[in-house]
Amino acid sequence: MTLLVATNITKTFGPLVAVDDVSLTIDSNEVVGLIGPNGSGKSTLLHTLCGRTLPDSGSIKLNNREIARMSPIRRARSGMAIKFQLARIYGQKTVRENLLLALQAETSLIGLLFSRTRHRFDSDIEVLLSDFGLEDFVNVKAGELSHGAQQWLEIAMAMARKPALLLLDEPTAGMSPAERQSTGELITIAAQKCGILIVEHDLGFIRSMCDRINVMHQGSIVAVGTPSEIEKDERVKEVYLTRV
Amino acid sequence: MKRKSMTVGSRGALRSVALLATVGLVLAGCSSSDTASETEAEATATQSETTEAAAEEEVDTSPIKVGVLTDLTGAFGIVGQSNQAVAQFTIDEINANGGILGRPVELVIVDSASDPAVGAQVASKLVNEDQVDVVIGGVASNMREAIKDIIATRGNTPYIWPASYEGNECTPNVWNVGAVPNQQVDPVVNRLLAEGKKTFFLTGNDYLYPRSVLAQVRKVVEAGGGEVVGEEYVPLDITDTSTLVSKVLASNADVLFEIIVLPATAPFIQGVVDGGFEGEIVGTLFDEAINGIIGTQADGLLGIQDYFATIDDTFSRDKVAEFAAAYPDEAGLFSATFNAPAWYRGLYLWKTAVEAAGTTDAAEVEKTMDSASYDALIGGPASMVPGTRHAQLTMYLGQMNADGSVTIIESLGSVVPEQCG
Amino acid sequence: MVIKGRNAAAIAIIVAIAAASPFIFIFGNDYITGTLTRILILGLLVLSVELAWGQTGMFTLGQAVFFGVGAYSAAVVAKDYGITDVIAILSVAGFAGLIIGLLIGAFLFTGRRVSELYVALFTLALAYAAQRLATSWSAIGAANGIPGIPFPTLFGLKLDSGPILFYLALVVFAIFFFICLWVVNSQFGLTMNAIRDDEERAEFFGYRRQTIQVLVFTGTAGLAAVGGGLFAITEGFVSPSLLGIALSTSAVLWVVLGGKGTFLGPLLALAILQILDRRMQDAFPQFWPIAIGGLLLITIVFLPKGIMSIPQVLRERKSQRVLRHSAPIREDIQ
Repeated sequence: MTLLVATNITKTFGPLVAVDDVSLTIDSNEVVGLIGPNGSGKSTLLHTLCGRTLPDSGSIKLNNREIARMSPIRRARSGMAIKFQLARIYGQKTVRENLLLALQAETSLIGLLFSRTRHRFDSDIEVLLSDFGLEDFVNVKAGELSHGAQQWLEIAMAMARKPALLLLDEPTAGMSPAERQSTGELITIAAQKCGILIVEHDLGFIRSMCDRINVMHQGSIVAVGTPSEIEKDERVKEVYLTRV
Repeated sequence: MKRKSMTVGSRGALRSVALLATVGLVLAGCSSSDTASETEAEATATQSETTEAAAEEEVDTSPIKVGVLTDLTGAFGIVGQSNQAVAQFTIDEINANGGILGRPVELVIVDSASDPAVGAQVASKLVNEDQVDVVIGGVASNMREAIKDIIATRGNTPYIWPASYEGNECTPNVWNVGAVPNQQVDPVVNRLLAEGKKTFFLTGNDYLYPRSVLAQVRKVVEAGGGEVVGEEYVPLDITDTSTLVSKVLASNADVLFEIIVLPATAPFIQGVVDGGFEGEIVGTLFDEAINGIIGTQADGLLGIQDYFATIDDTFSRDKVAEFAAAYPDEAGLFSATFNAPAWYRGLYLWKTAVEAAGTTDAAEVEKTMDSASYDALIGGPASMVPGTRHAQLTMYLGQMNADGSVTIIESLGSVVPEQCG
Repeated sequence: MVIKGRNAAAIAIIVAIAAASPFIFIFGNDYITGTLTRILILGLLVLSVELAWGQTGMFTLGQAVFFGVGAYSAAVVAKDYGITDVIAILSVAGFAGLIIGLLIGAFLFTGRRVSELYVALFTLALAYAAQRLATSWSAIGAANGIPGIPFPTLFGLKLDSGPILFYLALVVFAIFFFICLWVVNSQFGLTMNAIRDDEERAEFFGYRRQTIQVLVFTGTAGLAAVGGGLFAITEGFVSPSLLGIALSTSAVLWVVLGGKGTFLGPLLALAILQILDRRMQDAFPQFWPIAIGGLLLITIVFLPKGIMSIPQVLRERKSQRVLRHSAPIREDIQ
């Protein structure tokens, strides 16, 4: 079933056409990759999808609902979650509080105000902690976690929202090979629950886990296909792979 | 997890105990000094009782405390500096002549920092902690409004308000020794009307004092067959006065009566004078201190005050010279607009009242102050008008000169305040 | 966790004040009582800044506007309408603050995210404008303010002595103090912190950031206004400086010195400075303002969390080396 349909997205900054008439689809439980060199427009495309910027034209449908003009808040409430490139977690708060913050995002404000205990989400927290291997750090301040663990916490927080679509912006940036491998496993588990779009600038990490890969160059998608198709694609080699 | 929460919890509690201890110590420091002063006060009380019992053989020689509350810092800081020096000068003089009731006089000076909220605090300190016998002070009316209840009503302590102001202060225990609108307005307006100057333009800043004074001007002008051809109020912090200047010039009035306070005074007067205004310019705030700021355009302005440096009165001149010698830094700050004569006057009138009462007791002084009168004052004799809480003052009409000095045009003699009647 | 310590400390403080107060009345005088009453009243203003800025990240440099609105409404109600019942007066004051706070909060926070600096400058300008308005509005006494506000009553009883007014202030302070503590400790409080620490992240989780900010801003305005109302009826006068820049920035100063975001710290800084201030000012008129300035600089440079971080800084210095080696590092995932 098709989860996200983005059609004819265009975004310009002054004279610069950052995203030029791009279309993209993601199916439920599909892991889609979006790769391209720096400046290819993949970040801008991601921002129009998540709501950080609004596209100049084009349509974005999530579960058949038009979201292109929606605020990030409404997109989040429509089932979209994001992990930013640099982990955006609450460093002064404990791991448990971070997860709680993600879990309670749609609780009514009155409900939040009158919750005398913070235990309503305890079972969800337990599950997330064990899914993401964070059990030992439950009362550690998030800012004191290792680089990798911070990324995993943010993915855990995104998954806590039980999203239909998860956007991952360079989830393995700055990670050691061991951490990368662990991250890959986490994403594979997550893919059983939602559709995922991974934005990366090199093919290495995502070729093993993506069902389909979009290659962006100069604001346009120049190729779409399975990892093996992409690896064989002459145009991709020409514009992208040769530069790596 | 539980263990952790307990440790942090008890650590937090420990911390709070430590902090409480700190607060406690500071408080203890305060109250111990207060206990000391209270014991002292009690001792004094017992002493005076014994004195009464011993019937006039022993005299109470404990110092009389005079609370001085003024704006030593903030917007009115310069006025406060003058007030403080005048108070010190006056009290030194009183002490050199044997004090009051044979007791020395001691000043307790506090800074109200040009902020009524601070004023309320320090007024409470004077009355409740220092237990002064009288408070004198305040520069602007909002300070008086903030402190008068604390001193006079809640604190049952005499309060001397030493400033020319808008009037209508009739609270028991409050004594007004500065000029009120009719004292500054009636003589000069009547004189101008008699000279055939019939059209008046009134302007001032938009607050109580200018509005009250100008209301009085309108009353006198209309009663005397004159006409008010314009009345304009501008914000307190106005700097660009050009619009106002054009309105004044366009009015062609015979008289401009103005109460524009600093910093706009100088540009406004300069604009009107340089613009070719031909009528008389009168104000309640012109004197030697302000002339220097206005510059040569001050030439010819009319001002009415309870004192000018050039009045024909050797007592005043000698006293001010003495003051200048004793306080060289504040020598230039002895002026009517800084309330200097009113401070001197207020302290002496209160001294007279205490001597008449034979005690500093507020209830007794309330009776004797009502008709207190004293002649040897800077600016001339003054007396409280019974039943009015205000003072009858010697007023002077002066013409400002380009060099900043003032030429006395007329000594108006003693003018009666129309207040609290 | 920290909440437990905070609660314990909070209760300890209130109980200690209540227990110590009779001694203050016996050994002290109306000036000391008045100073303590004022600390409690300004405490409400400080709490409101701590909630808006310290807990939610809305840098309000004009919180005295709401304090002043409360003070003036209380003054008008008590003096012009002759209503002296303390509950009625404080309700009117608080309600006035809520309305003004809602208008300003809605203007500031319903649109796109605005920077902390924008909020600061806007509220600062607001304080300036409010003071000027009050200075020239003759219906509320213009520059002279409103003096002679009658003593409050409670169920017909006149509250007219220093100690009674102190207890009135203590009760009102305690009520709002515990409400604030309860809010900060709730899951809503956690959300406030999330918006403070990263507004955008909170939005991407789906938090209705605008609603929360407007709500908190409005609430703190009401809280400050109750403080203002209490000021008016205990001090007996109001003046334009109550809603001006000076008081607004003082409130921020206390929060900075005490430790923004530490909840108890700002109140502690307020208490210490208020107790020291008059005495130090009288004892060292030249030196004291400089000392305060120096204290502020030292705090900003060395103690970003104010005096509340002194124990933490000492502890961290001691265990820095240990921490560096024991920082949790996740090697693999099973």
